[in-house]
Amino acid sequence: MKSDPRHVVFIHLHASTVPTPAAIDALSAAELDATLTAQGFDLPALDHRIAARGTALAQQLAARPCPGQRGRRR
Amino acid sequence: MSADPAALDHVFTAQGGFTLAYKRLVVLARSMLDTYGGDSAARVVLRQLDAEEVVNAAFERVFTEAAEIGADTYFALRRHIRNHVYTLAQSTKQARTVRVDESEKSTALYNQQTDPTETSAVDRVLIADDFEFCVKVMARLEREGRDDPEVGLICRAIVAGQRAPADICRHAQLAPPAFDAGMKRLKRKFLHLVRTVEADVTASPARSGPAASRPSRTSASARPAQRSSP
Repeated sequence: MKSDPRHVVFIHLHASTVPTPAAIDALSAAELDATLTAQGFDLPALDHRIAARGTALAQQLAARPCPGQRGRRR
Repeated sequence: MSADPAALDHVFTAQGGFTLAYKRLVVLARSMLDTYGGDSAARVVLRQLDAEEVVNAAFERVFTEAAEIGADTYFALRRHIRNHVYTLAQSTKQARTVRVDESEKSTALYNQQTDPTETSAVDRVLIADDFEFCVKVMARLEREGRDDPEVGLICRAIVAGQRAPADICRHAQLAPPAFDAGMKRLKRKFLHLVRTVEADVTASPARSGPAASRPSRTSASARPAQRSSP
């Protein structure tokens, strides 16, 4: 079934239309926003959620023990 | 302890700061979730996943791991996202095997009798589902691309086994600029059709019934507006 010509073309096109991690890393800020919009994201809402997430993660990062402190016994 | 937003940006300096790094990861997660196309059981599970939830899960794991947070954190997050999606995609494809009893002899006998190269019943159903979806997309692509001879030539070259752009050009006897323009039109049309057919499949009551009744693995379904329908 997989040797069907339609399946062959489908698989090739599907693979070629998915951006690679390297291609995503090369996107500028504007291109990233355009891609996210094309993927169906509501940008203002996403920015708002990212800001909230950033605050929480910054707190988590600050609470992490320094590498030298980990496992030290009193 | 007070939080320092600059410290988080510092971790993702190479990616342009935390916000850009997060957006890159969301694009990656969405792309990976879309990679497993078709109308298979795996696709039904992945369709319910939210890219942001996948990214958040990766952050949770990395920030709670003992590993140091630094320049490599972004790559660790990428690995977690890939593994998360891949594991879910594969989990629905694994054939369930049952041993007759617990003895090693029975297991060895069972393994001998099972041809590991044979496609399992589960796989056959998945392939059939994906194939059905593929046929729907390709039938529409064929119909709508009839007036575009370059697109037809490129498709024939791919069917003939050509994969690299230079090989496709040679096989289709197309000049590189004509190939680039034709390929761009083909990809645009293909993506549009994949989304259209997928939306049709999702909207179809026969398909959306089981998908809707399947419990969501994340809170993705709680925010349906995040990903607009194409």
